[in-house]
Amino acid sequence: MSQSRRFAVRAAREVNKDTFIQTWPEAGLVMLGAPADPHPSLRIEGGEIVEMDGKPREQFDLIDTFVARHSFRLDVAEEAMATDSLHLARMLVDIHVPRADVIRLMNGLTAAKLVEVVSHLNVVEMMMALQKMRVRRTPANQAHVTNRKDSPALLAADAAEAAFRGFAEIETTVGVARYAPWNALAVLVGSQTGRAGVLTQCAVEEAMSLRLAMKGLTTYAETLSVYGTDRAFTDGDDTPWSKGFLASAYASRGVKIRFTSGTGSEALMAHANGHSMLYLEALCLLITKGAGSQGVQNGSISCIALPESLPGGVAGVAAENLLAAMLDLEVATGNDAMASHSDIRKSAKLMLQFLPGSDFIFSGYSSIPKQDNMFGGGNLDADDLDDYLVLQRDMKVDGGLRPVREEETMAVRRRAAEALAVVFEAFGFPPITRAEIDQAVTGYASADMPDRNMAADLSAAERFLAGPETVLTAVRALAKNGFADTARNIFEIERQRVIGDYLQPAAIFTSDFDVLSGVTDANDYLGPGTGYRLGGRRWQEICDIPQAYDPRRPQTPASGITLELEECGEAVAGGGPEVVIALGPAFGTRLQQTVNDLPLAAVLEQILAGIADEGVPARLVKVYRTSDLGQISFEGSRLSGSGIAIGIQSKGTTVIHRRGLLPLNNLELFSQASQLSLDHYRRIGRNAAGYALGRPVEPLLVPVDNMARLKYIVKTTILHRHETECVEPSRPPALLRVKLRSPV
Amino acid sequence: MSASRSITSKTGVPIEELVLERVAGGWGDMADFSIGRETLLHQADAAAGGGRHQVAQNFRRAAELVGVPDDIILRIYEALRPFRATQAELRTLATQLRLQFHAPECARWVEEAAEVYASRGLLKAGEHSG
Repeated sequence: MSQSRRFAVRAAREVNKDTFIQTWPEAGLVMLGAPADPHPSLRIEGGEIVEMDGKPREQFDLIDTFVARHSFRLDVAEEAMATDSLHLARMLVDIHVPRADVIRLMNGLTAAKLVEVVSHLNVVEMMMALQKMRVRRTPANQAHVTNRKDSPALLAADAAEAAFRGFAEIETTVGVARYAPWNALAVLVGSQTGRAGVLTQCAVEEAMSLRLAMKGLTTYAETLSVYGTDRAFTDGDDTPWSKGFLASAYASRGVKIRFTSGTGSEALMAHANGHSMLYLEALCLLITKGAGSQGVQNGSISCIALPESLPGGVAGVAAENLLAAMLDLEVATGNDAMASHSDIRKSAKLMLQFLPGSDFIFSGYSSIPKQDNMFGGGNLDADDLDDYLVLQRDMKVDGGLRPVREEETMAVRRRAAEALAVVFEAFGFPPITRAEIDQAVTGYASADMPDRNMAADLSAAERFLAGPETVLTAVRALAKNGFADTARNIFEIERQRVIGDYLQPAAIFTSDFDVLSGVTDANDYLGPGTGYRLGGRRWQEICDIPQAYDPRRPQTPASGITLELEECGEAVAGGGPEVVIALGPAFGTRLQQTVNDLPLAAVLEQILAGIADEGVPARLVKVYRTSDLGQISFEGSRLSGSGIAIGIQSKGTTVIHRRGLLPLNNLELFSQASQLSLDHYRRIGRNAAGYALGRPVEPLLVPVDNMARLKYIVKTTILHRHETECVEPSRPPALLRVKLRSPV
Repeated sequence: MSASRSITSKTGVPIEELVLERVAGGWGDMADFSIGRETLLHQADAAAGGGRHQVAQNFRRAAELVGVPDDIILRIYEALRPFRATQAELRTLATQLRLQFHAPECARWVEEAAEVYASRGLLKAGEHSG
């Protein structure tokens, strides 16, 4: 327990719920540079590698053997290994060196050499390098769509919304494994209702995953996990050869695949063999490359809190993303699992992938509330979508998403749930009810969904998996029952399998089923003015968040109270102990309420009442020649019999002025109009009257709010702009009387 | 790249004949929507042309697997997992791939696994060499 209150407050902060440890290299708990990490070396004799990273061929383990046989271009290896690592690091960020020239040499680097190259880069250089080295020119994003109840209507609605919001891929999984074919079906139907061309997958056990693909229910798979040590790999119940065979098997069915790896997994399994996380990840990526996978999802993935506990962990995770891109692999750059309790820390980490852009910035943005994320993820989730959209707009960065409106989103969700209901009927599954559809449209999470008969559902799902029916039954049912668009989109997804262009690295579909990939949309970044540039319609789309309003639009009174003032000729100097209230030029005409939404009628009423409380007469004067508060009150004090005037701008900023003071001096200034209540205005009136009577006056203290400038500066600017537009430089001040104050 | 060549599905249906109206009318099954061997070989060439040699090799192995039934694919995958198969069993699968399915690259892949598994002790218990 801290004795210092400040230390106590900090100890309770979110960041201090995270775990931090010192390095422990023997256990693999170090990002870079473990004592056991080898030094780069490669010796080739007779077209075969006989030594790699200090190890002779006789000592090669399973992974060394695989990598040595499959992962290198031997014709460039000697040149590449002989090139200084610092020089290679500089090539990564040198805008005069084309990506292809860098890739050529990277094809010949061992794991230790790859790590040595990235260890020369700081995080800003890693971001520059990722921008240049990622496979696809256009960045994209992937969503997670799951729910705790495996509710099919909700899966379809959520998949539709994710597609509608711009996600290029959607990954689902199961709560109960036997739901797999249903979940895959729901996400396919939903996604193709939301936006044509979204790729979908269902993460389940490998054999099941392959069966779903063979039924036409999924278009890609990414759960092909690889590890950097033999024991971790075989504990994962696979070998590089079994995973490699699986990669070929998926491709033979027209299914896109990417492997999965990430720093920390070997340490977690207690099989790091004393190596650093980044060295083992480099081996994983060489396995991925050697197996012929077009890409990988990495960035620690589900282990992210492990590297984040270590010094340099977040930079190291950026380095592993970059390593994948350097090896010409499509990279889906993590950001899926919970990385921190702290929003500051999460956002900062995200920037390392978000700003440079990657093939998929998230390998699963939780587009559903995190309570429904069955991957145990949700680092950013449905609640954070508006934050994410604002970040795109702030940074002028394409994060792969687009702003949507509530009404259109609800319509898309409904259509998807209804489409799935039609498909369920065609398959003879237990029906999706009207109540389920309604809740899938308006509910927050699966907790809001009506319960279904799980036993009946599961046996129907199992019969479907075992039976002859395929996705084509769904296409037929949709076409026949008024869902022609969804039918056409699913049909086209199936047809694309036959073409296979989307098997190429980093492939996604546009809404017109054009393939964007390393072949058709190769990253051609070569410095400013090249590569992906956010502009045109896409930038307009990102700018157009629903919260942004037109600052030119006239103010609509929230209160319903409007003030009407009648002019009674030019104001002249008065006599006696009066107070003049000098109003800004838009007061009660173009503008009707303060920055704080107080009706100007009520504000004026209170000031007048305050002056009357002291038995002092008041006159209202409209100043036209200026919108400046000092000048307004200066004008008022010139006309006031007592020399005392209250100057007030339409936005509510108020000052008490006395004749003889310079325009920028005052008796009392209330510069934070947002902090003024009607009671304050009444007391301002009283104080002004007190000054007019020559009495000693206690100045009015108004609370200060540190957030006021943040909250009101935009509105203040707009209101002042309106006021200034009403300025008539040569028009003299007019005497006013209150004509009408319409009822509430 | 798809426009300049004629593409047929695994079952030999030209891509132009894969139209929604036919499917909606009851025609076709998933085999008609499966990628053909030639198409995968073409994708392999495209990958190799872009300097992606391992991706190309994977597509070539995939091309060989087009004609291999689902259950045999799953059986081979299972056999390649650690401690599942003897070296003889793996060699038998390799032979089947080579002779029955004309899949020499895949056969080589399985044979290589058998050889490495033997030296790394990853064969079915008690069978470390063949």
